[in-house]
Amino acid sequence: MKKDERSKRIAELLSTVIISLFISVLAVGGVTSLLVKSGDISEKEQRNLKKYPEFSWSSFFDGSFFKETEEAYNDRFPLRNLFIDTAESIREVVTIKTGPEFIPIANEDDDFFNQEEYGTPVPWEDQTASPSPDSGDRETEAPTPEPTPEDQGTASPSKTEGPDETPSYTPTPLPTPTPTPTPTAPPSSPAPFDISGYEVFTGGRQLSGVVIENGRGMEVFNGTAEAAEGYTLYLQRLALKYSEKRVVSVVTPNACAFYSSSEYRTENHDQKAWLELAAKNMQGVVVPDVYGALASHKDEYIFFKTDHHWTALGAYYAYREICTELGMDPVDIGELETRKIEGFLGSIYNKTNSKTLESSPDTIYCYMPKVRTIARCNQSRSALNLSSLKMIDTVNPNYRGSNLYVCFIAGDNPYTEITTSAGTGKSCFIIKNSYANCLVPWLCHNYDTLYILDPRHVNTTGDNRFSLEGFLGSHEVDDIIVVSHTLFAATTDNIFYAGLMRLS
Amino acid sequence: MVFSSLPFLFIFLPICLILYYAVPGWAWEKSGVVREKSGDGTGTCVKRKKKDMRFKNAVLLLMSLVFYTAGEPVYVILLVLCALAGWLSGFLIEKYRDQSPKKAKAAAVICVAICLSMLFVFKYLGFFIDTLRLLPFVDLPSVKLTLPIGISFYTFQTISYDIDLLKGKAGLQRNFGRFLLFVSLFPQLTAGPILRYKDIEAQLTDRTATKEKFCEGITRFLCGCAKKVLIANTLGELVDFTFSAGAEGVARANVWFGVLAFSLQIYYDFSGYSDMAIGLGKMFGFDYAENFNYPYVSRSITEFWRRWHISLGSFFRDYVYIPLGGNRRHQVLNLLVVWLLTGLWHGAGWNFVLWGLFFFVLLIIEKFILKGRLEKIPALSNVVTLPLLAVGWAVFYFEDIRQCLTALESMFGFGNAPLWDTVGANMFLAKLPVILIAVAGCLPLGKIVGKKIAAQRTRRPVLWFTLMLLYSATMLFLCVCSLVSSTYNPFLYFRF
Repeated sequence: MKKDERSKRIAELLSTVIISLFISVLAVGGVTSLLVKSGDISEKEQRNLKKYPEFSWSSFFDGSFFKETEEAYNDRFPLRNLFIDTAESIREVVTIKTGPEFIPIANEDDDFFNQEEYGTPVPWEDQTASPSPDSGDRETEAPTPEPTPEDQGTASPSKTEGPDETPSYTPTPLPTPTPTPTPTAPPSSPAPFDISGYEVFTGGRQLSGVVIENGRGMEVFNGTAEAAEGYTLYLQRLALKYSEKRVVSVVTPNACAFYSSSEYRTENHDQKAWLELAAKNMQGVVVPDVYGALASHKDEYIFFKTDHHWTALGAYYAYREICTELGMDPVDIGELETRKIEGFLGSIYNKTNSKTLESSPDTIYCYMPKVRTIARCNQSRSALNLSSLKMIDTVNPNYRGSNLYVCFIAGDNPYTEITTSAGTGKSCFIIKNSYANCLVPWLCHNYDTLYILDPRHVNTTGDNRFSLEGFLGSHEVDDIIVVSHTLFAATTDNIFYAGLMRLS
Repeated sequence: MVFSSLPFLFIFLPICLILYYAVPGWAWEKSGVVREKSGDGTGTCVKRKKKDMRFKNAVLLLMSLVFYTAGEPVYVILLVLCALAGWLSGFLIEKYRDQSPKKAKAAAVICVAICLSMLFVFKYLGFFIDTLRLLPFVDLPSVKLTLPIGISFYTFQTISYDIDLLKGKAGLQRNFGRFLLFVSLFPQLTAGPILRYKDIEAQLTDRTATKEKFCEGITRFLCGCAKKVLIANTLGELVDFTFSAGAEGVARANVWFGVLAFSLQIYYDFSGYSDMAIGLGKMFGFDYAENFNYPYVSRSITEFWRRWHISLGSFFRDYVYIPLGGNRRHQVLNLLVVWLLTGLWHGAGWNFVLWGLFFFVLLIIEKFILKGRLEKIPALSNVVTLPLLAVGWAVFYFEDIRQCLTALESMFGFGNAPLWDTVGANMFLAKLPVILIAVAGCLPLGKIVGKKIAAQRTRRPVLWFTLMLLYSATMLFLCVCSLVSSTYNPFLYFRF
């Protein structure tokens, strides 16, 4: 049949088209993937892209060469962001959301993401000592801190502001700080760890991931008693060794402690309980009640919704608590100039690619320090070359890189040093993770010098290690402040904890 | 290298296809010149082209070895040695088969023993020693050897050659290259289906990838890729989340959710991989037998094992069950042996033995007590069979026997796990659409639709073309999206 013949021929022709398309698409994709150079950084995911490995016979024979080559190839595939976004959109379509959405994410210690240049820091001379009337990008609707319960009865700041008014505050006097009681007999060794009442942290289900609820993404906390024991022991040893200094433990909860459904913050996910366990086991260490300070302000913008950090306002409430414990005068937030950075999509958005979070980005409120500061940092991890420090801003509201949280002390650097015009005669050594970044600008008002170390990004073992003892021996330091958040202090399998334990 | 990966899709496969179709599928006849007498007495020299797969086979062999070396740079030598043993013993078997059958049998037995010892050492030695160490008077060091990829498959394929040759069902393969190609063909090397030499013998030297077959191969391959990447991996996330810390303390409902998800995951994972293998085979002109036939519509366990991992079942039937006597002599014992082996083949662990025994018991019940009566009742038989399979998968999943028992306790109302857990329930609900798609895909709708579309090829080619193009493009695009966006790509049957 002619018609049959014709159909057959068309079928054959079209088959050839399909076959050719198939092979061509794959071949073109392959050639493109090999020719087009991807950068080394995924801004979307805030991490370094895997590198192609060097060839060696040993890596060939143990299989790691092929494995790493494949991983690097996958990481550097062209149009990566397009494919990731499409996959996420489809995933959202085929997922039923019943209230809180839990997204399991394997805990990975991200590769240290070296920030790119962000412009010239503001030199000391140009930093104003007090807010000046017209300095450019003026914020007019900074979130107002609400008075804490003990402030009631005194003149409270006006809360209603029109869009063109600068927030006006009547500085609220703080209660006289309770003097730290002198211990009667200084302990000679750390107290044995007492877990009674908190046995829930010896087991429990591990929920490793992020819960998205009411437009907010929060990392779930899985506290362990083991980490509490290690952490409290370390802090106590520090206090014993440097008995003439004050050792302060600042561990802050994250948003999951305040805003998630109960199944994500009870039992071994209960941050308040873990913090109590840690606090009751730290003799000789100053432990400000950060949880309490944040809890009484939880209706304010104290945590980001798309990032795992707290905001500078949240850090401010913790700062006030720290000042109370240490007998210092905290600066009044109302006296500071506020600037804002809009459109912040942070770490949690990057890890989950959630469309819910994408639709309501955060705003970073930067409170410009009232004192002048010179900040410098070191970006190489091997034992600090203190002569090659780089100038940075303490707070840079003009920063527009891919991770906007870097506006605070230029992000995570191995070592940072800040000299201020505070004139208190005191200096501190801060061992920190990234939560301290927006706490440090507050502390600048109370210390003349701040030495800041990130134990994740310095060598803590080996010949080239950073020696805490050596540093404290050659620098004047009054207070040693260890700052982190519960997720890092309460689990042992993260590089902050590991680095901290080895720091000596 | 895994088929469902970007390097395979965009580097290895196009290179392989282009090379394969660039080299000729013919060669000049050995004689070269043929004199043909024409009418006027003069002769003409005619050189004839004859179909010869040698160049294409060489490409496939080279690419298969490259493929395997990428995954096993050291143990590729085992693969070659195994093939060498099989090939050499073939000559002895052929030589003695008719005159001294005992010698031929001995040669076959030696080769089978070599293959099985290889398998034993690399796969079972650690397990064997660990079991011995449980005895009080034994003081052996613990042994841990990495399992070479595909060893359970290529050893069995080599064995099938020897036995088929011994029984006269296949001919001697004189060419080592061709034999090695049979053993190492990359489409089925890492995860099956288990090819029998007699089924492939002719195709080694004579096969054609018609355009129709190639197109079938494309859709089959992409279908398998989608099954693995879009469905199996997604379900795997739920399974891993549920059992991330074993079965201890997991709420009962969650255990069932996890087991259900795993039952679907392993089907989509394994059958997806088999689909990819069959599809790839077709692209090069090979026709492999089906390995899965919608096993979850089975009305009995007996039927299930005719639909699941068919190549393994028929291997054990032909090479173990029937030689032992089949259903003629001590049938129950034969079944026991086969099911212990089937369980053990899947993994070196007591839970796998238990899994095999579980099916043995069920099959005995079906054969001797039910005698096919349940199978005849349509819905009831499915309702009975499926939970039994789920229980089987729970045993299969937990390699630690204690976890295994805890899970079974939770599933059947014993133990002290809570009944319900909000987080787990939310996770299950979140994945419910994918689960429903997976359940729907267990019905043979895909096969029916596929056949209907294939039938349109010569009748309404443009329609056929459009559907094919849409399907292939969509599946490929979705798979690439998923592969780029996640590094989560576990392959369950990789430990075989």
